[in-house]
Amino acid sequence: MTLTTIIYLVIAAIVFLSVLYNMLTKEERVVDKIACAMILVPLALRLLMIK
Amino acid sequence: MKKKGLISTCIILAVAIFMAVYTGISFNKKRNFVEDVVTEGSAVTRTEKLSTYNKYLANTFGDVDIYVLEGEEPGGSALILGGTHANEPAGHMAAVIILEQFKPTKGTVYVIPDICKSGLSHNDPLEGTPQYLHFATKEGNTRTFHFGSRASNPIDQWPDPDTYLHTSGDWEPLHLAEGANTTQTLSGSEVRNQNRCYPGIADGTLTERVSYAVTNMIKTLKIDMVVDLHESSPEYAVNNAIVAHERAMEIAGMSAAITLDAEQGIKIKVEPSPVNLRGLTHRELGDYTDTFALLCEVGNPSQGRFRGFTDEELAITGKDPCYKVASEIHEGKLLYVDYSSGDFPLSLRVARHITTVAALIENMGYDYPDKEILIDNVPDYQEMVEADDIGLWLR
Repeated sequence: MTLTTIIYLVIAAIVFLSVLYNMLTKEERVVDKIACAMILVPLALRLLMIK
Repeated sequence: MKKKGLISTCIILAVAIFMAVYTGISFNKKRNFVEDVVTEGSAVTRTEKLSTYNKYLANTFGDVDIYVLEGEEPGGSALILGGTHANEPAGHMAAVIILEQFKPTKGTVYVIPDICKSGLSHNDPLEGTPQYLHFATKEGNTRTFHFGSRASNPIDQWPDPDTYLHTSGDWEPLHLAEGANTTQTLSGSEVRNQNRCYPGIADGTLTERVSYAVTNMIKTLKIDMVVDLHESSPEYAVNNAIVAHERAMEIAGMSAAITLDAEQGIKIKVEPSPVNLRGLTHRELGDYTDTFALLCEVGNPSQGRFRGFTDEELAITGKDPCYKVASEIHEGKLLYVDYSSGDFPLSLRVARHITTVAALIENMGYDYPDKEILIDNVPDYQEMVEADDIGLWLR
């Protein structure tokens, strides 16, 4: 695994956590929560390096 | 958070987790699925690992098997590459059938059916292509093979650069055409295209390492001919064709005009390898080694942009109503294959590849008797087309 890959994984992890935080604490409308959830799915798979 | 909000959040999160787990299991299963290549009863005398020719490939996903088919009498040698682009199943399946059926009596045939194993381990997003292809053998067994992506799996080399600068690494060209460049800039995703990474870099990306190993293998073993098996969209101009490096042009021309067209009625074009289209087998392996570098293309309706619903049936039967319409409008000039029958089945595409490989090997022997390879048990073209079932040629 290259250093660039590790940096990108860290970025993906930060985006994942911030979207999850927003979903749990900020978003009130159901459609916005669904949008957050749909963003989380591919991010989770990439963090686990599953493709 | 209000109780109502908490419940909806939990439900949505649970659905997202289910989707991630469900797709994750499916992707992971595909990533780790191992195709069964049957060597029992075949002419395979031994196997080697590709990492023999690049130590940086050892213990990586690109360290695939090289199947060696040796005749009793010494002669020439040929390397057959399948699966360079894993969404072009005829190339992959033709290589599998060659290694399971060809019986060389003179010379050596090397076969790597899954040269881009990383590409076979995933699918292109949003293309709706199948993950696997299934075939029933004569004995009634089911053989399962990957249908993959044009490019290597991003988990093997991520992220892609914005622009891919192709270079030839430490290799020194042996036959560079006058005025030709040795580098080229390409779109970033091409860094995962196996057929843009030759001659390869020993410790580069996984795709470059695989390419390096192939180049080094050809140089080390002094392989006389390499044939890379592909497919292309029916609307792509380079179709039903042999693309040849200038040193292999005579072999390609004789094969196309005499062995294939005059003797068997198979219409096939011969295209010269462009000198400044870098990274491709027919260009780099011809420039950086002494091998005769050739690439074969055949039309694949499951790959093109005009196609409709895409599934395993389309990949195997090549039957697509959208291509039928495309063949009937604008005097059929939208397509570069004859789609008037309404299909272009895998059996026909594989038969074309196998017959073309046999013709190229045969003609190399005519032109260069010291490089002669004699092969028994080459599947018959008409028989394969009429049977319309490649499972009959799988062991």
